[in-house]
Amino acid sequence: MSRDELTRFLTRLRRAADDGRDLSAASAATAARLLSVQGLTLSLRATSGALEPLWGTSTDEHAPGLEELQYTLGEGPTVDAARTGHTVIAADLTDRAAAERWPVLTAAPTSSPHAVIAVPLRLGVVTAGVLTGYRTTPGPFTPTQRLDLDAFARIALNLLLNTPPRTLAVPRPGTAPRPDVSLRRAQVHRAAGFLSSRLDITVEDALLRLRAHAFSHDRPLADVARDVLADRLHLTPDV
Amino acid sequence: MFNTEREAHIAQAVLDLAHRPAGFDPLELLHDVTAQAVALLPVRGASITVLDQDAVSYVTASDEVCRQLTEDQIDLDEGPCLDSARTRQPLEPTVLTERWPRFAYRAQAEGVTAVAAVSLRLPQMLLGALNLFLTRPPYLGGPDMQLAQTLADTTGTTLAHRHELADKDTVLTQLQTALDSRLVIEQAKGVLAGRLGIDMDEALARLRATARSRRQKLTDLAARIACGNVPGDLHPTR
Repeated sequence: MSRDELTRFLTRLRRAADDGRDLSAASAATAARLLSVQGLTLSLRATSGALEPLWGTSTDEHAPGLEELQYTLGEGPTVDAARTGHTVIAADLTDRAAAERWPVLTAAPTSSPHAVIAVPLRLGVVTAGVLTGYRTTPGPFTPTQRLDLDAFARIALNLLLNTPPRTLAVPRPGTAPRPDVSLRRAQVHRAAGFLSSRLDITVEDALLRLRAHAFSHDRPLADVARDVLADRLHLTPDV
Repeated sequence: MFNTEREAHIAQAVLDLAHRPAGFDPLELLHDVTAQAVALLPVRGASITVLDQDAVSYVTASDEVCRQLTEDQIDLDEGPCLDSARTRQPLEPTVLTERWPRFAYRAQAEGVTAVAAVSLRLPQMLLGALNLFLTRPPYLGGPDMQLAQTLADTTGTTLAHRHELADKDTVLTQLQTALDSRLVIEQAKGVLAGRLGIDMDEALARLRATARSRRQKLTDLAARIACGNVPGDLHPTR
């Protein structure tokens, strides 16, 4: 079906990258469809090594529940791909191999996608970020599919490197943040700061506290962050 | 997967030559390829020469003797490495003969009886040669010469990508710095909101105003606040 369409899509993006365009040139929904995954996200690594999602299919679709859960737990294919610089595949998150490798993630109640592929965006010896594909059906990723994802990952890295740094800066008053390429979890970092001042703990500990609450109550981290900031949810220092 | 230990060493050597951090030292890479040649091939030593117009220059060598033998050829203006470089042709193992009388004499004094060379190429141009110094027959066979050429080609490719990689690495660092800065600013806004009971817009306005009046970078002030160190002069903006 979409072989030709994928080739045309990649050719167009390659040209866009050469022309200096950034990730806004790539529709995440189209990329996901052509790469035969239901969810697709791209994260940039901060200097600390932490991953920040900047681009991807919209958060109410299948994937990002699991993506967020990986950040919440600090374990999963995306986290491993960033750490090792190798592609990490979970063909079936409900099987035993996955359970042994990611015991907490796979035991979590919300892991709706069944298969995950995490491709590191490598620049020389450095891993700049990770492209993660999520599929709702279990099963291996075919060699062709892996090659397609690799090809897209290479182009996506070039598009990412064309991102004007100011895109990541705090939006100026009166300007709307760009929905296509932006810090997707700004709210979570605000909530971590907020909680740290309320509980008199470090921002890092506050982030862990938010994540622990989200996990143990099976709620999206973003919702917990919003409630904390609205003073609707009062967390205590201890879990 | 590998049939012999040597095959594994070869794969490792190629990977080592290809896998360099951005901004790596080209001289170190060129020295490493001479060391890999000595480790993997039946050679006494190896050296690198580069060709600029028609002038041949010595760059590096696996050891002192090979450095000397390479520089000798340049000083004497005779020798197989020079001929090979000037004709831009690789040199099959060649026994040192009367064709290069003065160089042959010096080389034999070091036990070197033959020389071979493969081209060191960037994708679009010839850069120079990887010279191999041999002591006794049987000299390098076809597969050995092919391996030498592979090592040289890998080195050439790595050199060619050096600029591109260094540029991209700089861009990545800028992006990561922007991301780091944004994260700490969002955290600081949260700290101020929690501490002073103000909303996010107000928190950002005070951050900006305070950074301006202290002539401090917004990121630096934010980093300090995110650590819980809120300066007393974060007065309300008017």
